[in-house]
Amino acid sequence: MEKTQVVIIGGGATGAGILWDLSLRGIPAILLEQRDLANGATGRCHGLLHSGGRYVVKDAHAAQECVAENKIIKHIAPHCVHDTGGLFVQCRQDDPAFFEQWYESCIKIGLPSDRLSADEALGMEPNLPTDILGAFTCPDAHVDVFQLTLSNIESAVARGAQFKTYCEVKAIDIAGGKVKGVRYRDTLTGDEGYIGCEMVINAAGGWAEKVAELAGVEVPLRCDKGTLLILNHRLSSRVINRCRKPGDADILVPAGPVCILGTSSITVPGPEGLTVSQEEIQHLIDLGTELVPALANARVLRIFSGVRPLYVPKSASGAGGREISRGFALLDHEALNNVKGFISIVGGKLTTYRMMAQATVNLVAEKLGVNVPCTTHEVLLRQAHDEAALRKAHKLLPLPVVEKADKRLGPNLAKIVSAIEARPELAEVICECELVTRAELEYVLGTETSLPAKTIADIGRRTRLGFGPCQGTFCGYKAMLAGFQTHRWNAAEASAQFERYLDERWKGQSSINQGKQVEQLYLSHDLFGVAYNFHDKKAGEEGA
Amino acid sequence: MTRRQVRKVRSNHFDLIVAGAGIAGITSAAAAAGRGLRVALVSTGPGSFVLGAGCVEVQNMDRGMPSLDEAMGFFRNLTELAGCGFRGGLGEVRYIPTILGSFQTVSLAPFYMWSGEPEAAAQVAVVGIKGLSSFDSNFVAERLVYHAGLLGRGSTYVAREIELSIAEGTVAGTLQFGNRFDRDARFRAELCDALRPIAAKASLIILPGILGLKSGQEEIEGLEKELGCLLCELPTLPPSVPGMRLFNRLEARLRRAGVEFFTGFPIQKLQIENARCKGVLLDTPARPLRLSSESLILATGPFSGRLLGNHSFGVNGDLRPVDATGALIAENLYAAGAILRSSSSARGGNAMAILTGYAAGMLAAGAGVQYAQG
Repeated sequence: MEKTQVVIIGGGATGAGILWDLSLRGIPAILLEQRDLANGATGRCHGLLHSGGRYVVKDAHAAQECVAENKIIKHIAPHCVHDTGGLFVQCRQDDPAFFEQWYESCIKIGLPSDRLSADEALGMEPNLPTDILGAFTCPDAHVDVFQLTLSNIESAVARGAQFKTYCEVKAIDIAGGKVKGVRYRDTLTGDEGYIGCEMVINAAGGWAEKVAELAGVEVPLRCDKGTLLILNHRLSSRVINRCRKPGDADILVPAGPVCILGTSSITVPGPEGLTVSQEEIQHLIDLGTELVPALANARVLRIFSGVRPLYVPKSASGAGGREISRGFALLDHEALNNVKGFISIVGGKLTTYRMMAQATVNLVAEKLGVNVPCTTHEVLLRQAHDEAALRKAHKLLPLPVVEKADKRLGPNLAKIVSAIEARPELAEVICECELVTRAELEYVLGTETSLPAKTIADIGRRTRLGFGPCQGTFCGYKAMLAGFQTHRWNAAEASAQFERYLDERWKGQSSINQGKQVEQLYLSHDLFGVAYNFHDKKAGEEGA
Repeated sequence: MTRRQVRKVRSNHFDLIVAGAGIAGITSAAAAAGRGLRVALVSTGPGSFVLGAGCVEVQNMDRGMPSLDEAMGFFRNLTELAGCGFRGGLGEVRYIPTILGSFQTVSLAPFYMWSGEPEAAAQVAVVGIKGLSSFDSNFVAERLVYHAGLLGRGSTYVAREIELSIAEGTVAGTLQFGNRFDRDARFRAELCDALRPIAAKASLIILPGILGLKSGQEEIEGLEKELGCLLCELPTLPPSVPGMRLFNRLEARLRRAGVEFFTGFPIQKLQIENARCKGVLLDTPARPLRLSSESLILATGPFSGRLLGNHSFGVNGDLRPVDATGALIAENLYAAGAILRSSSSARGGNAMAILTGYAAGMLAAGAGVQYAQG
């Protein structure tokens, strides 16, 4: 039987942050994730590192948390952050009283903002509508959610923590009102296991209600679906917010070579089986076009939805999705429900994941009698890269490939470099959109990494392979072959992997009803659909 | 003046403009040129040929469709004359391997794929090339064993790898090999030598598509004869060398038949006046090039509805596009190929392309061919 002190359920940013915090305080822990890391709400959001401007008028407390965390994340995880800055744009059709209220609220909580004239704003962001009244600056940034989650895990693992992906918790073992352990099932192999522990932390996001049920307690959540569109260009250099009461499609985040528009806000029954209607997409595009007119002609690469798991204490259950606090709730079920050793952390948002982890681990440490203070606000999430390896990389790979690999791999770049030195054919670029080399692909599939990829989609979350315009049509096939060649999968497994991967990629494109991406989707269908008989199997599921 | 010079000064007015150089466009241009029309073929490039190998599947198709036999016969004859003859026919079904190691059901295929059917007790070698990373013979062979088993065939598949010289400073790629197969006799000899020991122990060799971008029956069957072994080439990830070869051979054949090519330029606009299509404006550098014609066939693929003004359209019984009210958009305008395809019936695409391409070409030439949809 495996044993540890703390089991964390949920491999999103919060769970990963908790694992890292626990490891820094010397508390042994194992994290269990039912799919892959950052697969839930973490991997299905804007990737916006909020400055706080979004919440400043309505919820000064949440905004203040963002102001503080924004600074901290930029400090501890610079490799995950693209510090673009942001604008709050004053659109002609919006309420001018709100603009002033917004600016005054920022001053009140110490959110740094400058007032820009319309000309100044247009000089910085030429794709804004020409009739805007002005704009305010703010320290919004883009954060790579996958990198951030993976870096927390990787750092924790380096300090002895453990994690298991594709392991679904089947039962929480409670005896005499006290947590004894958890039983889990590996969803890829079907194997079952048991981990004995003193405490269980429920950080399952949209699945937190279900996990709490395993411990016999109630955690009322509202699942609020947000749909986002990925567009094939950066239409802005900065995060563009519409300066008004938060609403749909009023944030555009530049994310590497693409940009992300969102979101909608629709209450759904649960975090699984999310669908997107054509009306919802058109609604987002129409509103987005008001903010950035060039969006009307952009190519939509992909459409995806995530759920905000909003905590709804019974007294507040009448409120709509945007009215419920973005603050988080830490539930000590020993105090609330007499279940000793069980804690839930719910609500909150990506920007405050570290603060949520800190609060959670403070409580855990107190209960376990550990007297070590939190240091996650000052300890860097990743060691500096190896200058010698970087110099060598420049000799072996083209410049843009090195830049991307360095940002993704940091100190692990040295491993790629030595692999290419030993086998020059590994320099081949497999994913041409995100510039992923065969060396990097073999690294994430291999045993040397502490974050091994188990599926082709996992490779994407580690390297961004397949995230570009081809959506895995070409590189997905090559990634499958790499998995086969490195003996990660036998031929049947590799083939099944690829079929699942295509299915997932196609789903994210199937609700796009026009433009170049439809041609891309049909190319993928025509290349592989025949071989997998997709057209027979999925007839009737396809959209127009 | 020689004939060639005469052609150069001929006007930009044609009997027929065919837009699109996929299978539908090529077939209709060939059919119309065969009836004596002066044909211009305008296209942005080789259409869907770069994606596959042109295999034709007629399963799930209504075999009773008028002109289907006639169209297939015409297409077989066309490919034969082009030096990349198709084998098979409407009544046939063969199982041809894919790069995923599965079998695709096919009724007609180019001769260099037709031999891929798994036969009882056949010893098949799947040959990879060192450094060619997008094709893995071990993977393909292992999956073919599995799928042949499902089909109840007794053929055995073994994976082999050969090493070919690679031009300095380059990486192995199907285009490079294809090019060298065409131009370099030493490369062909090298390939033959590398395959010979494998051929000695196999009755069929399956290899990634590399046997030339322009080569024909003579070169490929010549190689088979030297090896004493059948060959089956699989189209790889695009660009597909066998598909490009098919296009190049068909283009050469059409040029010999008098078809004039305007390649590389998208159509800016169809010029439709008083319910007649006068011609097209091509998006050529500096200024648009105007070509005029007596009739026009639109074979521009599944995403080109915008050329007809973006309103939904169908075609009437003789392949002429109609608007929502059922009125002809232009009396001398025809549509063929995937532009007609409904989004849910991707299968049978090439068969429909041949059928509608042939019918549209014949109709534009005033021949009494029958075509009715569905």
